Amino acid sequence: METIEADEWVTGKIQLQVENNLFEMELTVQANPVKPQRMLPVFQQITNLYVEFGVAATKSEGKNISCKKGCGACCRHFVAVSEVEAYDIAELVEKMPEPRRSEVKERFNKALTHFTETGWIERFENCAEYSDKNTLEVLSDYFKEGVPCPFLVDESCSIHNDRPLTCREYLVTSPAENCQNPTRENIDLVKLPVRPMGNILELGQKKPVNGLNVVPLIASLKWAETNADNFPEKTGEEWMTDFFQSVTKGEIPQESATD
Amino acid sequence: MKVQVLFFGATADETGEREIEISLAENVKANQAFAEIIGKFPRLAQHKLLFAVNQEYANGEEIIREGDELAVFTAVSGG
Repeated sequence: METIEADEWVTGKIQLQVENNLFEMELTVQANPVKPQRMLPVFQQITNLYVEFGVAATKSEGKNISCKKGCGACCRHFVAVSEVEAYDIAELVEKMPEPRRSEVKERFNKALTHFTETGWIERFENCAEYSDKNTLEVLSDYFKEGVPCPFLVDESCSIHNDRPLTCREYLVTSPAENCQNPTRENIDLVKLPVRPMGNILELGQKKPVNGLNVVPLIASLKWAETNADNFPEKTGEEWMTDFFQSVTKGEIPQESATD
Repeated sequence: MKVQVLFFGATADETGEREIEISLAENVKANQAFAEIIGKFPRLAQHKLLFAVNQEYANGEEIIREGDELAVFTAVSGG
């Protein structure tokens, strides 16, 4: 990692080797301490790069991506967001102009009320690990309720540029109709070199809701309202170091250069 | 109204500038402002870009005011 400083921003060049592939990125991040939510556009862009790579590799194998605009089947799946994203989503909704803001809040409220009244939220709170059979059953049962994502409009994502990392990472080559009845056997996910969602979870501090360390998207407004934001402020370079340490599970060699 | 635009890394290389001042119509949104900047420096369009307004990454919906500081960054990948 090589960095060049310039007042409020720091530009860094990052090389990441994943199997036989070398990823070179130039990222400009805040030089001053910020909350991790302020870094999300960078994490989103990194995710986009890995997704583009995964899509290109998949196509080179002769497979086609089934996902397309207007197919909102996966928008009825359980969507997990990180704590960082939960605060960001709440902020995004607060900044929406009226009447959209009230409409979106009402959709969140209806969805959360539905899953609370059916007992799903309580079952989710008792989930400990993804590998548990019970957890897979609970996540699968979410889809059976047929409740659309609060941001889904005309079967398209109304916050596409700001959508959660997990939504960016979910692309399939299996037939689109399989997403109407997803199982482990009938869904073929596009293989990505890195799934940054898992690394963003490690930037969290608490254990939100349960051992899965995620917040259900439909609960993110309530989560942000009822949990004080105690995230530390760090420089962009420090957040990127945390992130790539999580990706590589190790130390990052640094090579600095000042303008 | 006048705003300052900063370029970093590859966007500075592409434009040959580190900092410029541009004139914009009153109360334009950030995405319009950045479209104007790309219009001025078309080579930027070859890159995936990130933008910022007043030291925060922008999603394009921000209203630009007189004296604001805009910034244009790029991300490049290989593999």
